[in-house]
Amino acid sequence: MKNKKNLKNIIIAIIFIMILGCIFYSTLPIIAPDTSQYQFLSNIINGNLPFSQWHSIRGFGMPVLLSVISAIFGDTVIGLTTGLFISYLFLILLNFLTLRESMKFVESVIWKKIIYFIFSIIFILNPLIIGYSHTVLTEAFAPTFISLLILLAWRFIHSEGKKSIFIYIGIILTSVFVWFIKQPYYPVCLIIIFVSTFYVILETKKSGIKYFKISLPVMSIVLLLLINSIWHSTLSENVSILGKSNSSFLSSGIVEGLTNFRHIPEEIDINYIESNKYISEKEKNILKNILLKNDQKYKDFILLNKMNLKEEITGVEVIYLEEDFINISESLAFLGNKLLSNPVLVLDSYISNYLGLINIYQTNHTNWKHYYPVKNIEEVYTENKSLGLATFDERPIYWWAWSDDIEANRPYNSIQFEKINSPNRIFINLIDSVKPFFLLSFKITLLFVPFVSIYYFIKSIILFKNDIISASKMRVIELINIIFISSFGHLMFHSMLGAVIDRYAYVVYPSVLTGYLLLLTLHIKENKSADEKVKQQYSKVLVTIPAYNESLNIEKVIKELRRDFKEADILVINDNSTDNTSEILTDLKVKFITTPFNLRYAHAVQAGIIYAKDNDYDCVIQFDGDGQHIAKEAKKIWMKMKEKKCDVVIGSRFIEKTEYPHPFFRRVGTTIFSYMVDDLTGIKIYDPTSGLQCLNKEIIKHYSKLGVYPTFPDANLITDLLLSSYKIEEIPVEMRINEQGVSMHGGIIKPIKYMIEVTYSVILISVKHIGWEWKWHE
Amino acid sequence: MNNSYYIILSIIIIIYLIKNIKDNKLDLVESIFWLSSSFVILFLSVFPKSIDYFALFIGVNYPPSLLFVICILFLVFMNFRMSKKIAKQEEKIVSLAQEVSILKQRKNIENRKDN
Repeated sequence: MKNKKNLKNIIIAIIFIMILGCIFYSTLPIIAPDTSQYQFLSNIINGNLPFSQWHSIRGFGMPVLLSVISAIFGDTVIGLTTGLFISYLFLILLNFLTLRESMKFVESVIWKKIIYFIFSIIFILNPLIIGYSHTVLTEAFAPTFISLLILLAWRFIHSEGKKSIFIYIGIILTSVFVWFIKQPYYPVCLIIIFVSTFYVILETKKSGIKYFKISLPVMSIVLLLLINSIWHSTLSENVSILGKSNSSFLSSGIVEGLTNFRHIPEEIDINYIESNKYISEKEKNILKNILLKNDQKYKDFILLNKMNLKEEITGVEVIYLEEDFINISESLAFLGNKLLSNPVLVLDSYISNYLGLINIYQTNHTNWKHYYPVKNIEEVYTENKSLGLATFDERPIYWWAWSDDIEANRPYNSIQFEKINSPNRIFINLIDSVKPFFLLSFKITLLFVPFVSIYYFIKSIILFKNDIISASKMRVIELINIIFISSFGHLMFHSMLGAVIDRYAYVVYPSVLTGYLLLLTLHIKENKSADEKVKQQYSKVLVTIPAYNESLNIEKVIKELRRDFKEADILVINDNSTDNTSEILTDLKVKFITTPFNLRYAHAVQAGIIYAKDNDYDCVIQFDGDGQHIAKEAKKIWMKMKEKKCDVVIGSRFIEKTEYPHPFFRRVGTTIFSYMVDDLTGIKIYDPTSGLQCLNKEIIKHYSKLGVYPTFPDANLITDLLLSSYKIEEIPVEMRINEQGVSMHGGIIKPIKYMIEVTYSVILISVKHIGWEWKWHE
Repeated sequence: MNNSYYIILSIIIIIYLIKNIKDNKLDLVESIFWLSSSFVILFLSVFPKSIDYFALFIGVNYPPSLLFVICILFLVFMNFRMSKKIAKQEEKIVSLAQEVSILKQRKNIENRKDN
């Protein structure tokens, strides 16, 4: 059994890695320019290019990493990308290990919770701090080491003595290392150092004056560095030792996002403004003043042409820029103003940003400054088309899609890459042969993520609200929740920056990290201990047998029950049978009720439960009338209920391997339902569709109320019970195959309807348990 | 009206429907239909241009008429479902009434016997 489990885990891991590979390689057409950046970087390292052309935001980690990879995997582009993929896997592993470690720090004192909360704020805002750059793996490496920093910080908080000194030194060294990888992450590291040092001051002030003396100067240095690194606009254009970030990094992204579905005309000069018929006279004067640099208030403007579906210009929108946005607050203020004045524009541009990636909006941008994939990659090779892939055209000039602001700082357009011939040739052929697959996998992944994340978000609310899950299972569930919630959140943030594409290759990292901090702020609840229940008797038991046209089987069933299960009373619910079932029942002298019209299976069972409530029974055992259930097993279930004192006992066919020959499609259905129940509640029920169940007095009361019982009582009922914190036990039972008669689930259409109905019912029931308390009317 | 008003309206509709479903006021199968139609309304209010795409795809010249067609088809379909349900319910009520009358008569006989 364990070997099989290991094999299953290995297969799942392999499939997972393959999917990751698909995601990673699907962004190859966009990452690949980064690998030709490698040529650029190696030129700098070799001294062919002046160092001043190296932009400091890139850090030094990437060239080091790339040279290591090329030493191992060779200098070809395929080797490079394979090496990058493996390092990407390593990052994911590191993130998972960090997460697993930090899960041990769930229980915490209140002020430690405050620290965790601060970390969470930092990292939810982290994508905004990242800025507008596009080297993929530096963005993956730096945050990974930041997660390592967090782990170190926690270890530091929970350790004592000499060990804590080493960990503290480790924190500082790691953050210095991060600075070398990617400078915009540096403020984050500084904040972490600041908070840990603050912790040192608080904690060791009482015990060790030595620590206190060291920590104060460290604190001041850290604060200084922090302020300096956030202060963007005062630094010079050249590379400086303290690092320069993009001015207007956020505004460029936001404006890019806002302009995605609108068209920016190439040349905006005074003639264009004069001849444009959509601008009012007053506005024309304002714009002309800005262009002539006469305006005091506004520094620049962006003119957007509104387009209709046929890409004809139908209007004009002007965004006035007061000055360059130099920090986060101004950029956020800009976004806030836009939201208040024209929320539809912001929403539309955000959505078209996101959907533009998967070509739901098919645009024909003539402005190559936009950074989104086109409908067909062939369009890349013609002029005046929006691109991201123009690196691979025949011309030696390296085009890159950029926003206006960074464009001014880049000398990239003028670099000639004549030497890059053979690797790119191979690469172009590779891309040509597999690009449909890559694009398709990329699009599918993008489409898939939001829905899964919304599903897991709802699920996490349910689980958070109900204390029925054991702690370890809860952690695993939360881990998966976190990845999906935060991957979507991350995607959202980055689409605001207008550069979602190349970020997607490492979507796992920020997902893990952001959600990981969500996890801490949510405070997982432990399993509630079982309360003292009202003293229950389990002696008076009723066996309900719903029967519809079971004349062939019912006699055998009753006789078997009378022989093997003597303690139980029997009630047959004759569901308005059309054959001679009622005569057979009167002959057998068994208690039975006849319904006026056909109620179908679920309501017949409910009729039996109402009978049990009226006659004060302690337990009800549901039993099938077609001879599939064995009476001895029913007795076993009843004994189990007496022993364990739980609410429901289900007789399951699939806990151990039995002789029951289940048809294949039914088996698939049962597996799906069992997985759904497990997913939503954390408790694994192996046979949610089994009809052999024993119900408690509380549950009898619960189900005799009208309208509660659904049409098919399967996984949906079980989910309902589990989410209401009832206890369910499952024991293995044997069952016989249905020898004679017509089964309830026959044909082709009925099973499909059944699956849809039960699935939808499970979802509905879980939504019901999310629960909001307000009532409109009674 | 600005687009955002419609988005808020459709979200209110969805919340109202979910509230009704939670109170068990809607049948399971009917709730599938109503809920999915409310999501379609939400989609249309967020992407009002999608009707144009749809019309281009189907071949309708004037897109708003497609809205009306879809609405009318949906209403006719729901109406038909309701008719079927009502017919079934008539049958059930009739048989219930017959059974109740027979039971009443049996109860009267027993009462007379006791007396």
